[in-house]
Amino acid sequence: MERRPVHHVSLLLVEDNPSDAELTLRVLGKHRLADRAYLVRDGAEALEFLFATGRYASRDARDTPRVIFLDLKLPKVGGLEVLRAVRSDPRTRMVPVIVLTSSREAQDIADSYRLGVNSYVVKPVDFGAFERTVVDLGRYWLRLNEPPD
Amino acid sequence: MDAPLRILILEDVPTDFELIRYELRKARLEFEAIRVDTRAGFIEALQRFRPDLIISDYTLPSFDGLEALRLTRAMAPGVPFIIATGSINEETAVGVMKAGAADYVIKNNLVRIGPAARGALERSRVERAKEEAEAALRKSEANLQAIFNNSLQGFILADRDGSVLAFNRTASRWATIVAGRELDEGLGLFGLLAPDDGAFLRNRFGCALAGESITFEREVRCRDGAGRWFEFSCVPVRGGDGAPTGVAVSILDIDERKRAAEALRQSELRFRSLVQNSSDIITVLDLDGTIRYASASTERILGYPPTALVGTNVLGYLHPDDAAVLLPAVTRPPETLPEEGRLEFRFRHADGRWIDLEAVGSNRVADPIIRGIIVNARDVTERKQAERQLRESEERYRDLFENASDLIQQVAPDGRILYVNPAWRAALGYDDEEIARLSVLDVVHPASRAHAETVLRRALAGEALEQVELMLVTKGGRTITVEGNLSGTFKEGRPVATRGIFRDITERKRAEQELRAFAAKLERSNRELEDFASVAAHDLQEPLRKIQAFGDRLRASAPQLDAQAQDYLRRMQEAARRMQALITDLLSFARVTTRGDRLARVELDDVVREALADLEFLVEQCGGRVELGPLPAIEADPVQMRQLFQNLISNALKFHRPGEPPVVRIDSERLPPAEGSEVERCRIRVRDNGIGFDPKYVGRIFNIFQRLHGRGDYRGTGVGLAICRKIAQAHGGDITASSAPGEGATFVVTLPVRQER
Amino acid sequence: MAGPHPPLTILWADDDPDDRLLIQEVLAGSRWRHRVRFVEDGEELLEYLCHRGRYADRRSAPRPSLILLDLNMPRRDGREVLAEIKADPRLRDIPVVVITTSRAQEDVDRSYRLGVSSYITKPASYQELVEMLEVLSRYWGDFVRLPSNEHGG
Repeated sequence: MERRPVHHVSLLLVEDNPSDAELTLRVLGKHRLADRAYLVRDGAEALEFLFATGRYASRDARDTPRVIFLDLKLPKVGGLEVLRAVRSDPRTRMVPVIVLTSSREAQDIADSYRLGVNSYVVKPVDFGAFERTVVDLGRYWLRLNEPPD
Repeated sequence: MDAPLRILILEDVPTDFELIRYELRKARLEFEAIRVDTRAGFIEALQRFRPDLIISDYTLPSFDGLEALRLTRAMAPGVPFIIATGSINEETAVGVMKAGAADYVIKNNLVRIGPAARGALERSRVERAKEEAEAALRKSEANLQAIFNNSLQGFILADRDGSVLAFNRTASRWATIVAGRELDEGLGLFGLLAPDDGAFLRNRFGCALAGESITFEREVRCRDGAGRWFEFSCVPVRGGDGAPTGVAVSILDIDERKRAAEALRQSELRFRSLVQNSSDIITVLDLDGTIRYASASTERILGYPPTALVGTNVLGYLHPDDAAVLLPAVTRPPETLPEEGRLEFRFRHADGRWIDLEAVGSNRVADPIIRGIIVNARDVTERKQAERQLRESEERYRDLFENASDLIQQVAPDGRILYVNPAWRAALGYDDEEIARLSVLDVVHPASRAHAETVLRRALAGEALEQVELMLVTKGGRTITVEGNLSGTFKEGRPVATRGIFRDITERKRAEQELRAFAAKLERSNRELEDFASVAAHDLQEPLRKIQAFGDRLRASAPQLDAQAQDYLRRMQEAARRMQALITDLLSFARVTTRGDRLARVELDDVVREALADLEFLVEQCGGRVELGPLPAIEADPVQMRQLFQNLISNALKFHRPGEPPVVRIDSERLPPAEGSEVERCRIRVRDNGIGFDPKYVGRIFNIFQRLHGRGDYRGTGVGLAICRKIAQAHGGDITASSAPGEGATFVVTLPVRQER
Repeated sequence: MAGPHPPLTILWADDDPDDRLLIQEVLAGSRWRHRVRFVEDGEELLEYLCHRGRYADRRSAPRPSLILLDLNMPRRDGREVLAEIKADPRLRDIPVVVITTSRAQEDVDRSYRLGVSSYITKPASYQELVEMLEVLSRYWGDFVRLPSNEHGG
């Protein structure tokens, strides 16, 4: 049966660079795409959020975000580790994860796809291009794409 | 002497023989004598004649006296031998005497033969007596020695200092037990023992040395640490002057005896205390009822000390009714009384109360020692009281049973029916006579029989079963279903019956079954509907999508179409869009069949905020405002809750008055549980300041596809509120609305805070 | 940003001739620069990918960089084909995006479980279709880095 799942958090943004994070959220907000977006600053916090431990022990881990935008170069726990954890837990296995990173290394791309990323996006350096990319990402994943339950 | 002496005379000269006989007779000896003169004759005479005295010539032609003496010594020692010879020198005489002759007589002086014979016989007799005495002594000593050594009593002879002089085997064994070593001569007796035992023995030993014979028992501490009882006797041993020179100590192991005696004493003590403290009363009655003995317990139980009872007649204390029953027993001839009998009677306590006693009487009239009746009685007042109460209660219950509409039965363990109430008889159609012949299983439907056997067995094993459901068959062959409780009745721990209280639920079962069948049908139909809706969602939408898309293409690729054609196209596409909306909403409505499978704790605050986030655009568009009061957390399906509030809020925003921005207020309050439930509820109000509606439509606005306004005025399919009602009802709640035209509308949702499963 | 990537080969499986017509009209009318190959059912999709039947000539069937997959198709439907693609080590790296009319959550969840990169429902109007294809093109064609084509075409 058709049934629209509830995702109390639409987007989990895992980003340690404050200016990138701010810009991303601001662009999404401008296009009405940022409602219920949530920012975490490192991989450890991302895992605590997703699996409802530590600071986020009162969350329900089954209440997954609609999509995760994941930077790779993160303090404490790296992005690939977060991806591996997300893909190996039945509660989060199906959540779309988009790697959004400045790395264009073939190894990172290959590792990300091997670990099951939904797509791998390189952050454009140019401000205008970055904004367009974020808008398209938001439209694609928060509007066009049907999220899993 | 009784018998005449037999005298053997070895003499080759017959006259000498006569002379000797003559002289012996002169000496007044009573004798018979025979004469031999050869070696062979001598030997034969020794064996056959067995002489008491031998008189022998010294020299014989073929024999001689010394040889004869030697033979005599060998063959008949102890027989005195006198040599009578014609001549003998001093030297020969000494030799003869040395060889063992008793005497010698010169034939010229035969007159001396008489005294010599007498003397020899006398000496021989003395000698023999001495020998016998010595032999007897030897034998006696040996016996004593044997006794001494083998006695189970230990003997130790000790000198004045307590040094061991002699001891027997038992004494040595005793030393081994007590001191771990055997006895030795010279060993100090007291040092063998533990210090306090040694000192004690030394003290008693001293008394014996002072001339006193002492016997005492003492538990001696042995080397292994255990105490062991011995009986000691210390007897003075006196020397020639009568003064004690030592002490004879005899020791007897009495440990077992002592312990047995101790055990007996303890057991006696216990028994005595048992009798004295026993709740049983023990009395001995004479045949006429006179109390001859009463145990101490009478004071506690009956209020009379035994001394007050003894000598009085038991009949005087009994309840008149019971005395009348007992009287014949008392007055019957004793031979006709049974050996043992059980009685129950009431005995008046010293304070006037009646004590219920249960007694067992033993007829001991024939017992020469007792010659009476021993009565053991026990206070059973409490039990009797309980029994009386039980009886009364049972009577009350029986009354209840007789009038009950439930089917009540009491069944013996073997299945016989002991009791059924009128309702049971009426339901199953049997009369009393038939019931008496029935086993309970006879009325159980075959399909229920195995179950019936199981529950009956469990009830008899002590289980109290509830909601036992059985199918029974009436006498008329009709099957009825009963449900009830089954439990066992026990007497002294043994099951004596099962008691069942059942209710005829045949009608209810039938209704249940019909309901189940109906529910299954409904579920099937719902499933089919859902499947249909799912198929419709896909297959009905496809053509509509195409109408839309190609309509778009048509408009884009044919700008030359005139205004009327454009309008037709627009209407066609609008109709397709509406159809699509209808299908989508219809699907949503169809989906809300149950409260969902995702019950969780839902913070309604959050749910409403999320719904508002989704409606943000709509709120902005109409310039409205939503005021949100605190909302509770409830157990619900979160998706459906969000849909419920989204529908209500968008509904409230939609029907705003033209030109007046909508204001929606949401608040809540707690409600007590509904009737028949224990779950608290909450009431949530969604109020708006919109156009409201005529109260006469209140019954219709929650119906599906119900629209109160033209499509031109307010868009919508008329499904939203129907979905709201469905969601509320699926959660065990409801929704109502109130309004008047132009006054705004208030929607009130009532939901339980917890879902009952 | 190092400029647009080279044009992609996109393999699109859809049995609905109306939709294929509409899509082709959109592509023709836009600045669409990618190569789109259509197959009409799941069976044909597998023939293409595995070079069987009419696609035996490898040159006629270059390895796609992206597969767009309808679910409800005759012969072998999209769910079945998706499972087969993701089970094949030579094919599993190709991103698959489901584009279907089914909005059933069961289909969505199952598709993600089987490893789709994304799930998109077909838009109702032509304009929405245009927008969808624009987003798709920019997203997959311009800024997503796809895994390298390590298994060859």
